[in-house]
Amino acid sequence: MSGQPTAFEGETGHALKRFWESGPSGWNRTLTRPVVLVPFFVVAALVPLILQYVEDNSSWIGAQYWTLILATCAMYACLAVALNLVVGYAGLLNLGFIAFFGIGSYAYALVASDQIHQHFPLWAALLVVIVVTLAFALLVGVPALRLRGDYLAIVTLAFGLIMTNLILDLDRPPVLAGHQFGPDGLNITNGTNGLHNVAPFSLPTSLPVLGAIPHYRMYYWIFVGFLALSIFCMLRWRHTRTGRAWVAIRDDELAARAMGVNVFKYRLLAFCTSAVMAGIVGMIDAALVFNAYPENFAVQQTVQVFVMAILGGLGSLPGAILGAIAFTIPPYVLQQFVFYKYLIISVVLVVVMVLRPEGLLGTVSLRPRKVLGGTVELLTAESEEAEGHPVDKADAAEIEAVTGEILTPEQKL
Amino acid sequence: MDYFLNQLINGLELGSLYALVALGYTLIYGILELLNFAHGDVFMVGAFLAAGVAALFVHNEIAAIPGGLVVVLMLLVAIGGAGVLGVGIERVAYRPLRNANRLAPLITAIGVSLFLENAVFVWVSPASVLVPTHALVSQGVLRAGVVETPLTGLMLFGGSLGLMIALDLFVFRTRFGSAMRATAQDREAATFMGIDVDRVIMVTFFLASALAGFGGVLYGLRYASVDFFMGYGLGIKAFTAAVIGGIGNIRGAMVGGLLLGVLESLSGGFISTQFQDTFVFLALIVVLLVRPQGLFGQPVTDRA
Amino acid sequence: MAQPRILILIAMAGVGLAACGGGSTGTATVSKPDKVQIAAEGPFTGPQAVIGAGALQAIQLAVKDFNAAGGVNGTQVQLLIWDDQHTAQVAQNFQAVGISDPTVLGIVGPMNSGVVLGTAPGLQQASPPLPFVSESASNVAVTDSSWSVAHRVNARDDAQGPADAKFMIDKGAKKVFVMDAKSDYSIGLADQTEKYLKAHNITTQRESAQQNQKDFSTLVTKIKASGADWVYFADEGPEAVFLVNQMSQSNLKIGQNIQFLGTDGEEDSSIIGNTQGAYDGAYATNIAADPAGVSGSATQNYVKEFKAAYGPDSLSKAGPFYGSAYEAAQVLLQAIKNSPVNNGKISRADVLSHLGSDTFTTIFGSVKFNSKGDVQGGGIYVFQAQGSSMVVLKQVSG
Repeated sequence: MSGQPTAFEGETGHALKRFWESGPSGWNRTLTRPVVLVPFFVVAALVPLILQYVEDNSSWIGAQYWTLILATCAMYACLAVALNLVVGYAGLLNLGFIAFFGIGSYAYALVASDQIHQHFPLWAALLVVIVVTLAFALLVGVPALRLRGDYLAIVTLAFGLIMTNLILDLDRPPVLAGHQFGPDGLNITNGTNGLHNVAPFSLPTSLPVLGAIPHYRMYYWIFVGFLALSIFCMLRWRHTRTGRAWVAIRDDELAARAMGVNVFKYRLLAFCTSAVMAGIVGMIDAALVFNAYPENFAVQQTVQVFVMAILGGLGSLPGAILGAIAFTIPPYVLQQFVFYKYLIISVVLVVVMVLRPEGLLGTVSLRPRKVLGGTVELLTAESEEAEGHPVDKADAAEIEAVTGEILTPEQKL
Repeated sequence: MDYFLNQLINGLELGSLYALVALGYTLIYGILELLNFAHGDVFMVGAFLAAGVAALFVHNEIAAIPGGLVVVLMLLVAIGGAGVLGVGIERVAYRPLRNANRLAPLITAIGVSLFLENAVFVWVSPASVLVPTHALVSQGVLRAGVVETPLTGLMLFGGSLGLMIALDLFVFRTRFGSAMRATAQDREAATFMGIDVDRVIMVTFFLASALAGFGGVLYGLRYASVDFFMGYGLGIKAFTAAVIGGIGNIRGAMVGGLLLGVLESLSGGFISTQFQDTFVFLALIVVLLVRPQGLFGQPVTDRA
Repeated sequence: MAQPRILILIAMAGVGLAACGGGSTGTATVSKPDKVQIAAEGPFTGPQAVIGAGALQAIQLAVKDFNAAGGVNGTQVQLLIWDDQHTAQVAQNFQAVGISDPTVLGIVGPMNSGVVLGTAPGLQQASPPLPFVSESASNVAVTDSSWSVAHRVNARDDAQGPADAKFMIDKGAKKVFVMDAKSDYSIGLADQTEKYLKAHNITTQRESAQQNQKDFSTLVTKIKASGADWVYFADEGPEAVFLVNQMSQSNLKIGQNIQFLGTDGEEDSSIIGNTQGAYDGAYATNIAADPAGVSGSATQNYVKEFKAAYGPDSLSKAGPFYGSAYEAAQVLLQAIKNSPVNNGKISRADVLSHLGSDTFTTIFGSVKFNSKGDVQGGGIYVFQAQGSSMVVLKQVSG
């Protein structure tokens, strides 16, 4: 990560030291400043070109390979950001998260392949993906979000498992109790083989300055672009009424409820937004790999995204990117160890979590609180985040209203 | 009717296995509010230990040991081994995180689970390992009227039920059991009462893992084979069972397990084996929507 | 952005690229290629590793043997390991290495049909196209999609399915209980078999076992209630042991009141011992022969070598494709060896054309591909459990 805050401090060494000493919330604050994020994304966008340049001018080969791996990193970073929204911001343990990714990719694959002979234009396909994932999110979310904590986790897990099974089974007419439903030869999901020959987005294959753009590089950029967009929205969103309501609910639902926050509405909003984000990521992925396949739904994938989000640090957007990179690349790098690679990875994972329970860049603690309204730590972290933007009186009052926490004058700035 | 009865018995046998593993989830959740994702893999390791013992003594021509004794040895090794493993996991992966945020131990649990699966995969076998059950216990079939069931299945059912009753007595009738319940209710208050919370947690982990180890032995004897990935699927089912019963509730886990087994075999038997699991998880969702706290769980209140 | 560069270095070390490789150094010796790489691709870790791990061991052994015999005119072949984890996405990432590196001359694998179908277009579009020889992808579309890069040494679903169905019909089947195990291979095969049976007016009942299922009591009770006279279980794993044990416990005795036909992995003679003889009389067919069950010095030597390399009990862990994986690697390596070397380079286009035209010597005898990429005259072996071993009854040509 380009985490060196040299651009806004005079003396590099001094700035680095201060950066290091600022702790996780300080790191986050620094890393989410436009002065860091903008160059980061610019560099990220240039990486494939740099790799290509190196490949063209040396005997090293691997520009396409590494661009694809980085595209996978970017994809997982998008998913981790989306998961961060639902878990890190809203405190909803959605263990069926990856199902929405799968639904998005299958929805796109169905309207962009020969499976049911539909080839929608990009905007219509995007609309379909959004509508379908939203429909599923509401279907699960509306009843499930009335549950609390771990029960929500389990209902969503069950939903994920059902989707896994349905994807495998809806390749032939279901036979229930001896009766076949639907006509012979009905095949929606193509079962274990997945949907193939999915059309990529109809985008220009060459641009004025850059010349011809290979498929994989285009999708790397799309993922990085979507990641940048998501992060931009998240950062904006965090300081709105909605963002603060989420934090308040995560910290103390009772208190939030008492303060008149419509808990259900805000939870559903977070749940659906994250689902739609995952769905869109799934759609881009289907177009990148020309496939929608059942492993998209595997529970292990949810676990993987959870590991990324938590390893990076819940509530931290740079953490999501860091976690995605830290968990995506090792299996590729450790490839020659084959059977041993996951042993190594699992040990590292446990050690890192024990040493840094809140994640590499995490500031949020989801501890069940013994003291009602015990939201002080969080609020401190949050108001520190907000230091850059002066919090106006109305905002402070709103924080007080939403969370039931009386801010110290210092926090009010 | 006899078809129904047979399927019901199939379900009860399978369900008792779910219940045994579900108890582990529920015990640990009750004490620590921790979803111990590695529990299914502790069960797997227990089963492998038992398989190892069985292979050692059954294929060994030097000393002819009667089958019954081998089974006792298998039980001792699997229960002890799994128990110690559970305590070790708690010590290494959960205790340092006891005061950390709730999701951190979830991730270390995933890490431990990944480690155990891959360790067995690499160092023991990527394929299934067979348990010479026919040399150990009777493979006969019990027939009562229209109902028939293999003795090993009956053993699975009886063994699980016996152990569950013993556990229930332990938790509700002994001094240590009340210490466990006190810790589950309020860890801090329990400390004030002079309860050694660390010890209670350790014993709970030992008990939960030992139950899984016991389940592993019965599993090996019933199905004659173990593989590195078996803990995953069974873990999810057992976890589901624990939730249906009301997670944290011991009796709930037992009933939940049996119910899930029966549900699975009846939906497979009468509706469709293809959609069997779909129905099981659908049932879970329905139960939770109607009774969010599970069948036997206390209504969830905020801990004040 | 220091990190990617470090990672690149690690990757270079890991993959074993010599930084100063380059084609310019090769001058006089025309016949010795500078560098030859092939890749092994399949699910080598994770739930599908049951079939992948043994196949990888076999491929590693094949490369070792090939190199010991002199490699490609003295150049040692390097093996890249691509653990695709049964996902098209990971597979594509790895294949990018091969697509952009012209010294990667072919792939042994991918093992899962789903992965092949998802990634073959990319391999086909590479320039030059990157050929692959699969050891286990059985879906008909793998070689029916007119991809010139696609080859496989195993039999096709539509060869095995109808052959299986016909076998049961010939044996007088009236009602067949068809089971799949919800995997790529198993569902495709069960579909083919069921289709053929239905077309010949045989009553069928279709059921599914869950992946990794151990408790078959529900299904066994169902078999009894169905009154089927044949049980057909399409599966590549060792689940037959459980099914047969539990059938026998419920008084469904193979050869007496029910007949049993299994598929790959179920022609394993250890099942007989592990079911205490309950498997005696059962039939099994396979798309990839188990070398241990094929007589002949080549296969028996291979089995010996495999055991010597990976331990005496390694065969029981090797899965159903450790024979076909070795065979596929042999085919690919020989095609590479037959290809001309120009300026220290072998072209993939030549490898591809040699794959199509040459006849290869493998542990299972000579192999030649037809125009689609299937083995010519390849067939299905039908086994029967007799006494303590599986006996080859006949070979049905595909």
